[in-house]
Amino acid sequence: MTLEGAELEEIWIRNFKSLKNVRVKLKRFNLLIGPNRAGKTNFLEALDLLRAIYFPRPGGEQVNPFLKWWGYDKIVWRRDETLPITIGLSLKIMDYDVVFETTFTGVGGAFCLLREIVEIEGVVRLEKEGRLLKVHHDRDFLDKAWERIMSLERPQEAVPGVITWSSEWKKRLEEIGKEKITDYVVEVEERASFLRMYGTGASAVYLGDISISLEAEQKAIVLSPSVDMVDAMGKTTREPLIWAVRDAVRALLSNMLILRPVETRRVREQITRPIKERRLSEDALNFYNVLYTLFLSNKGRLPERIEVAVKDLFGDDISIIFNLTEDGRIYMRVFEGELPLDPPMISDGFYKVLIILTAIETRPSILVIDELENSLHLEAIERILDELKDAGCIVIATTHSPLVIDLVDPADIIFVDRNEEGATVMKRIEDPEDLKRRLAEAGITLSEGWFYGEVV
Amino acid sequence: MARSFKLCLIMEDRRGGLFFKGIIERLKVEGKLPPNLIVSGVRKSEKCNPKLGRIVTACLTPLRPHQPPPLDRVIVIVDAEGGPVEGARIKTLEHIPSRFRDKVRIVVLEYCAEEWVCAGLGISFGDDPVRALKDHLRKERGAKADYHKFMLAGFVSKLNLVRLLSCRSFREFLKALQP
Repeated sequence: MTLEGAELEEIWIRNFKSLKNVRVKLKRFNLLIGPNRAGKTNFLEALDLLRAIYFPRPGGEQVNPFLKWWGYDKIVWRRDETLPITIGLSLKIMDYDVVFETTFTGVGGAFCLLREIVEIEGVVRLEKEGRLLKVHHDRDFLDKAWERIMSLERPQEAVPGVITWSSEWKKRLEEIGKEKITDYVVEVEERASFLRMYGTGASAVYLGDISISLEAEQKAIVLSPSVDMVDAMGKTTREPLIWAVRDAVRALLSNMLILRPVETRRVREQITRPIKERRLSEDALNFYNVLYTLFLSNKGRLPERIEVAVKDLFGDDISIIFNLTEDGRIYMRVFEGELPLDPPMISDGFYKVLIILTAIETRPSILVIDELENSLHLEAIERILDELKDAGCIVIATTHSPLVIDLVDPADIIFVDRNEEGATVMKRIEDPEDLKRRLAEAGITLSEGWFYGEVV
Repeated sequence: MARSFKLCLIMEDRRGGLFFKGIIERLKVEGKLPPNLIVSGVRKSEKCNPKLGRIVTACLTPLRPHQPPPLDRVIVIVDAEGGPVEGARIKTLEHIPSRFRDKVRIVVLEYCAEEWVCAGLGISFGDDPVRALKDHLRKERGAKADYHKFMLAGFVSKLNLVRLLSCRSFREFLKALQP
């Protein structure tokens, strides 16, 4: 099994900006549509905050993930600092249902992780609250795992670099007893978290299809199935499922790409020395470097997806190369037939198309695009939508445009609005096929039904 | 010089547009289609969507008196995705205003555009042309090779059009292109 099986299925958010309490099921392609101030961008920002908590970038967020928003009081529901914020994810990892939920506060100006839950359904639940880590094994799983462990006289296989099974181990487990392993509590550091192994010194012993991992500086014993992981080089390694889940959540959060509305004028002017960059920044100001890196790694050609789309949208005679300035900086030059076009001559829409396609080519775990339609002609929107549906990752995009709604399947749309209280409400169409039939009978498009009538 | 015959292609995935346009251009070069046939545009529309009727109306309605309509023909290409071909055709036809039906042709692919690639390359595809194409590419280019929809147009020059004639939908497409 590989980590490619990790799929984000649902997100829930409480007390973040206008998102007092929302829960949204996700598909591979998700289009958020709603009026201004409905809370679309807030939803995207909640994901940004979750990433900032666990994967701080060098600079301000390391100290305080709320700095980007000018402090906790600016992001908590109704500026009520007594409320904690919760962000939860439901994932499918290697056919296991997994929940990862984190609750935190920033009252008093400092980030504080209040509670963190990781649950692998049918295996184990880890709940950290303050300094206490509660471990709860699923009863049925533990019965089977225990029986398996106690029947073993020697390890099933030796794995280099990890502790090996010994009679002392078996003795230690027997002394603790199955009952104690079912539910117990250990003390951990206040800032410890699942994604950081609750501290240092985690290790594991593999017993065929069952693994024992020692977490929280070896104080917590966690049993889970053993799984075989295939790394990027094609090498297979054995891991406890709990580690594989940790790797999957880490990969999901750290490799998420959030693209803000692109200011093409600024992107155009970012002519810098070439640096190998494989990930776009949220403002896409490093676009030249990322596309240039892709260009080099594809033997001096643009990735096929980009090349084909550019020819489709802008003409067969369009080609792109990179040029160096006299002082060693790099910029993009577009040829329209024989005619060279330098950055000031290239349209905003051209940049926007390239930026989104480049974002897809960087293979993020989740691709989030705010205001998808900005600067784009309908043809380009059509092409980009098709590419996004086939991007190989979860895509969450926002739009205001009725044009965009009519180009997607109603099942892909999440309608965003506010209720009387001012809280964001997010809804999917319950029966998309029935709605399509009703719209067809009425002879109106989905955008007309949404804008002038009522579809959810 | 013969007046140009302008048409528009409508399909669910815009990336198929370059593929179908490429095939039309090849047929023109090989003398199988008249040179005055021009693909004026490729439009995207989900099937069973009232938007389809609006696109057709806009394509075929002259907005100035005594002027011909902007286009002469609209070809809607629909994937039956393994379901009943005639069912897909009827569902699509429901969205075409009756006054324009003589200028609209519906081409139903049994599965999807990749069935033409398989047929044109001589790959047997069973009921999953995309899977068959992926397997073919892996055999040809190595285990890491993959197929993505954006690669579709790249196959146009490699297809054996005579072999492709074995596809009912391709013959239907050829018929739809006749002025």
